[in-house]
This record gives sequence, C-alpha cells and structure tokens, in this order.
Amino acid sequence: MIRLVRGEFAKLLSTRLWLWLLLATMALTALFASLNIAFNDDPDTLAPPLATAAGQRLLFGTAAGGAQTLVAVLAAIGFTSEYRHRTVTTTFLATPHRAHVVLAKLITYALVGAAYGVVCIAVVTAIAWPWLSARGIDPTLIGNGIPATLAGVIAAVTAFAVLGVGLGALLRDQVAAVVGLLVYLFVAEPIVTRIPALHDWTAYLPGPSASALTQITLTDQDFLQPWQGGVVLALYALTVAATGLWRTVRIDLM
Amino acid sequence: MTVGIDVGGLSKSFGPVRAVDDLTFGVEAGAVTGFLGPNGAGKTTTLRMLLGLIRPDRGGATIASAAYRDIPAPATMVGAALDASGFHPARTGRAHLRVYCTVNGFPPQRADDVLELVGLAAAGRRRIGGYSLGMRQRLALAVAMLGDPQVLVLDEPANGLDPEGIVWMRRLLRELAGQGRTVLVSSHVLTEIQQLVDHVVIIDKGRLRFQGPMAELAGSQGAVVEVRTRQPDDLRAALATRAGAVVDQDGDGRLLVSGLDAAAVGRAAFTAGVELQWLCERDGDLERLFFILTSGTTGQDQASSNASEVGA
Repeated sequence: MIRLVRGEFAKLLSTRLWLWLLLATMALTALFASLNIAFNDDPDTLAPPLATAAGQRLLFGTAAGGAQTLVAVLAAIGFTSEYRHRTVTTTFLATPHRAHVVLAKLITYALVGAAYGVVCIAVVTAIAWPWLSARGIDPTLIGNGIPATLAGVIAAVTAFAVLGVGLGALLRDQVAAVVGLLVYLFVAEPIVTRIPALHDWTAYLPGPSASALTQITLTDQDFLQPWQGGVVLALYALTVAATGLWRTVRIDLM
Repeated sequence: MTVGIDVGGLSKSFGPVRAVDDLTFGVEAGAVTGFLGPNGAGKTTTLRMLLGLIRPDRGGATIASAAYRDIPAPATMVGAALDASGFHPARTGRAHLRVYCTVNGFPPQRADDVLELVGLAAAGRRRIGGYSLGMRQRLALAVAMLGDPQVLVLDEPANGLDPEGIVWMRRLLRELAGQGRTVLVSSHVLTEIQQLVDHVVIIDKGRLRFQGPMAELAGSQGAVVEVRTRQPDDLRAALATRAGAVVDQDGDGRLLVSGLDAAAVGRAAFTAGVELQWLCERDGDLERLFFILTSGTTGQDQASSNASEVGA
C-alpha cells in the first residue's frame, strides 16, 4: 500500500496541476482572510469583533473555505484523469485488486488535503498576525478555542479530498465530476441554505456541516455542533468513497 | 520457466451483442502466437478479460494456471500493451514509466532501460502529448517490458507504426520469444504478422475459427484457386457437389475456391460444361484464406459485426 500511495504521489507531482490549484487556494484564502479583517469594523457585519475569541476563530476558519472546494476538485481530477487519459488500464494491470488503488488514492488525497489545509492556515496566520497586531489586537494560535478550529479546518479539507476521490471514482467523467462539484458547492448549496424554511434540513448538507466543524457561524442560521458537523461530513465523505470504490471494482474497462 | 495461456469457454455480451462467444484456445509457451480476426471480432474484449479488466459472463482465462488477479506481482509475470493512447499528455515518457516503477516496486533505472529497449531514449524527457502514434506504441511496449515479464500480451502493436517500425517490432518480438517468453499479439491484418508468428488463433464474431501452427494454416486449407467464368452460378452449383469446397465470389465474377486444387476445379468445370476464362492456383495466399475463414457469412450479419466493434 505504501508503494501504491507513493505511486499516486508520483502521478500527482508529474504534472503541474497540484501547484496551480495550491496557488489558487492560497490566493482565495488570502482574499477571504483579508475581506474578513478589512470589513470586521463594518457596523453591518454579522461577524463578531476580531478582538474576541469568536472573531478570531471565524478568521482562522476561513482557511477551510478556500481549500476545501479546490482540494475536492483536485482529488476528483486525480481520479477521473485516469479514465480521461486511459491510464487506468495500466494502473489496474499493475494492481488488479482495484480496491487497493482506490484506497491508495483516498490516502494520498487525504494527505494532500491536510497539507493544503496547513498551507492555508499558514496563509491566514501570515496575513492576520501583522494586521491584527497593528490594530492592537494580540492574536493567538493556542488559546481562544483556536486549536479546535484549526483541527476542524484540516479535518474539513481532508474530508472534502475524500469526497472528491469518491465522486471521481463514482462518475469517472472528468467534466461531470468537476462541474458537478463546482455547481453544487458554489450555486446549489448557497441557494438552498438561504431558504429559511429549510434551515433544519440544510444544516446537514456538506457545506454547512463543514462550517459547523470549522465554526464559521457567520450567519444567524442554526448550525450543528462542531462534533456533529464533523460526523456528518465524515459520513458524506465515507459514503461517497465507499460507493465509488464499489463501482470501481465492478466496471468493465473497455 | 515458460508459461502458457489458457482460455476456456470465455463468453461476454454487451447488451444484445455477443462480443465473445464460448471461446476456448491455448497459447503455447515460448512462442509467438498471432491472435487474428477482423475488427469487431472480439479480440480486444478477449485480451481484456484475460487480463482481468473485463469480467466475463462465463468461462475464464489463466496465465500459468492462475487468473490474472491471483498472480502475485503481475507486472513481473505478464506485460501488456493494450492501448497506445493510455498516457497523460502532460507527463514525459520517462515520468510515466517511473510512476509504474514506483507502483510495482521496480528501481527507477528500469524506466531508462526500457526506453532504451524500445528506441525512445532520446524522447524520454519530452511530454507524451508531442509523441507520434508510433512513439506511443513504442512507449506502450516499454510499459509492458518494465517488469521483464515472461508473457507479453499486445493488442494491435503495429497500428500506427511505419514500415520500418513494423520491421523493428517484428525483430524485437522474435528476439523476446527466442528468450523463451510467451508472446500473444493481436492483429486484424494477417500479412502484418504472418512472418512473425509461430501459431495463430483466428476468431470471428467472438467464435474460434482456427487454431494451430502457422504452417498448418497454410497447409491444411490448401491453396486458394482463383477462377473467372461467364457462368459463375453454374460453376458454383457444380462445385457445391464437391466435398470440402468453399466458394467465395467477389464483385467482378471472380470465384475464389478453397479446399480443392486447380485440377479438381478444372475437372468440375469441364464435367459441368462451364467455360473457364482464368484458372489459377494461388499458393499460400493467406490473406485470402483469412478472409474466407472470417467471412463465411451472409451480408445480413454485417450489421451485427459492425455493432460488436463498439464493444471490442
């Protein structure tokens, strides 16, 4: 299995996609964090003041927002490109027990997701530290419940990586997987979560579950408890991954 | 150690199309076997079932008495080149090979060794997106050779190769078989691999048509006799009474007869009072024979044969 995971890393690193998506993720995270800080003084904002623990948790939680979608996209591309470029034949010839290949990809992209999460936390930290210090606020990474938020960020990004691998395994079509992910996360979910009558239900969707886990409780709608969000998100990721694995083992490769 | 391949009762349908139909054959160890059939005959489907990529409806196939998925470290036992398009265009040839070195636990040096073997050493550090089809065929063969396997399974490896490349491929495969390896190579063009193979397995519409040594294919069927006459229907009727005669007619009134020699055809024509304009025995015309073997069909089967190409 270690060989297979190293093989997956070799595949990932042999093209530049990971680098471009990492740069995009860092840019997106920097944007979110900067907007969060810049408009925190705005009287209309729902965000708690940055001087408070809740305000700082929210700021560090933005690290997940930038990373999770693009990591899911990277993971989905990582799987579907095997079908798109037909390298999947060679992959399954080398490892006829296809479940091992799927597991190796899940492990690989979970690690990649965690790494992206760490990088995004570093980006937020690099922006927040000087900016908040200049405002006379003394931020911390070890108090104010921040460690739980940071753990939540990494867990959420990792879960989205697993989700992306599973979706790629399930759909196999690269365009369908990537467009489906982006449409769902950027269009469908934001719309349904804004319908007040549905809040009781939409709190259980992947995005709001991740928000609960990372404690980005920006709006006044109800969220799950962080641990509940984590459990729900993990269930999504594992269900999709298991379905993708089930599908992968069964298909005929023409 | 030499290892053979056994295919037994292999069947696979795609929807209503029987791509492979109760197919049984053996591939001898340490020889080159040609796996022949027209496009859509079920060759690719058969090879992919042999390699565990497609699940058969019935029957099975083994390599050295083991199903592919049960072979430990399969890449060291079997090397397969099924698809000259199975590459990520942004990767270099060398990077592609090194990925599978890592996966299989081979030293990275193997990537350079096999690039050298297939004559791609100079192109190894270029992106595969810029490779010609012939170069991709060579790279696919390089992937197959990574594990220095005892068995090689190659699906249409000569596709896209220039004449020089085909000669090179023949020489390499002969050399590999000479080292005691088992080589199974598919083609839809008999002449392409005629000089290469020791044995042939011929299929059509998923069914076995012939299996045996190449020499026997040429010998047992006898020569093909080419006849021209203004009374093709009368000659057909006359030949129909002769045991073993298989008659094939092409558009311009020419009959191709197998199973009889020229003298027997001439005698049949004389007895029936049919005037011949041309009588010629074409010794060892294997391509014609191949055509006859794989098209003993009526026109209405053509549609289903084309349909099965989708699944092949």
